[in-house]
Amino acid sequence: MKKKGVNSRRRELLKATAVGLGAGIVSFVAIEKDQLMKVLKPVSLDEVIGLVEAEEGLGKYEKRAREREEEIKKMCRAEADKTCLDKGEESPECVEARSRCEKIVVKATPPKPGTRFVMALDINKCIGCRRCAYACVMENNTDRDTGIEWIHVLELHRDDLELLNTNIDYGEEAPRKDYVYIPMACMHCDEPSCVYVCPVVATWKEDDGIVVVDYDRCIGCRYCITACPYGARRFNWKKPRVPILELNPNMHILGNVLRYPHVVEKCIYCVQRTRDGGIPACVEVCPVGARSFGDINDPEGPIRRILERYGAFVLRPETGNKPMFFYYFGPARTPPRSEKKR
Amino acid sequence: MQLVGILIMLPMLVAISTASEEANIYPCQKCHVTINVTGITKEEIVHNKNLTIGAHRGLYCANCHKAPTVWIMEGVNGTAIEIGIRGIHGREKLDEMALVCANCHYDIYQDYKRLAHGNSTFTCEGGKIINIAGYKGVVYSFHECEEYRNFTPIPARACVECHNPHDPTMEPPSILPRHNYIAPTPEQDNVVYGTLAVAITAMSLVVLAIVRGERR
Repeated sequence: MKKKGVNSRRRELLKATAVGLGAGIVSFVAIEKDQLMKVLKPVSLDEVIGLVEAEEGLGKYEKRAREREEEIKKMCRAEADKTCLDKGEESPECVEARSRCEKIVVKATPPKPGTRFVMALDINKCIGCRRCAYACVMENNTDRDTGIEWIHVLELHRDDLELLNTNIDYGEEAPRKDYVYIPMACMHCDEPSCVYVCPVVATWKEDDGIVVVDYDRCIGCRYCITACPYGARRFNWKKPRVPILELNPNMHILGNVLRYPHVVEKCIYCVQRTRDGGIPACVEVCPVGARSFGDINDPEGPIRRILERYGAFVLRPETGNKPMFFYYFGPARTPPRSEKKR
Repeated sequence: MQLVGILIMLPMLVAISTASEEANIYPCQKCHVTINVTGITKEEIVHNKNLTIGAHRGLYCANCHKAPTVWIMEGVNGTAIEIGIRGIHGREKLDEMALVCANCHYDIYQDYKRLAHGNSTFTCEGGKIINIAGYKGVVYSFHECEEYRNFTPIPARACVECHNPHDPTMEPPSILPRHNYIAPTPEQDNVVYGTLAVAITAMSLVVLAIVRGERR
């Protein structure tokens, strides 16, 4: 008996599905309790309390840093094996790569109470050679493919200190007469607008004045990039690629640890160096010594000396961000290239 | 085979002497043991200085040199500093020479002491610094440490390692390649064609809309 307008095949399929679903539900409910306990693991009270204590204590990020260290070491070893297959087990690249992998340390050094890191830059000395920008790339394990550079050096006429008229694409003819060079990166502002716009609290200002990004929390919405008046933030459009022989093994979980794809990154005052008493890579590499870095609360430090002796100015104070990166005109000027003697 | 490997590694891991890039090497012995200060000249070719004009006006050779030798220099507070030490000298000896510079540039010497002049670096226990030719040709100081903790900041170089003592004005070193991904300015022709294309598209859309409207 066949009714008109009814597709018997479709009806059968529906019946079969219903039977299958019913059987599935029945079988799921019928699983014994022991079986369920295997899937849903109960948490012991001690474990939970221990975890909370660890998070409230000194190293809030210690645990995560250690996990990340293991991950990166594993990744690095895989890369090193590839290199060794390519070049041979005896080659210097292979040896170097393997030893580099074992040296990787991911730290989570907390801020030291009472410190406040500040950088100052002598515009009279800066020659616009861009060494700071490229040393920064080396130090901070930045992606080499998409050309992310945290520091941009701008050329500007001496008479007109207006950022809108800067030229970033000046050629090999620097320093020119009557021009100044302004390297610009994150200013580590006191009122950071990038922090205020972050919807997931993935970026914040630490107690020692460094504005950091938590790469695990960042969702890549790029609000902060829009909010920053200095264009200091960069976005990882792909998984960062760092050649294994150029990997910096000294890492910090909130600093130069290898980034994930689709997170925002920026200058972090080389937190992996400075929190342990060192100085940033850009300060170290500068051939004319235009940069100085230190703790503004230290009366014997370089920053106090500069601010008291030479004074300083900041870029774009009208934005209300209160930048903590000071530019000053020092006592002596590096002569322009055209005035070269001999 | 190994030699080839080393040759490949050379650009990556060779320790490049920063001295060759930023300062000259002066064979002090060559002149300083033989010449004496006579006190009759006011214009000295070696120093590229004229003691009758500019900031050095009114100075005498003996303001810096402990006459009659040029071997011993005047330091701060009447100290006598021996320059041109035999053999390879360490950082302490070079730092001692800074007292000669401080004779006139005391202010800058104070800056230097507080790491506000000249560049600084840091050391770690049992660590070493390797200079690597890195990204876009930068000479990057790679620190190799045991633990990467407890660094001590120090001045990176003594005065004479950057400034030639006979002619201390520093010349700018070489410049590195440009930044990445700088959008080039569009050519004027492209702008004109682009505008035309947009205008034509807009016109055709309008015409289409009118035609379709009439058909109803």
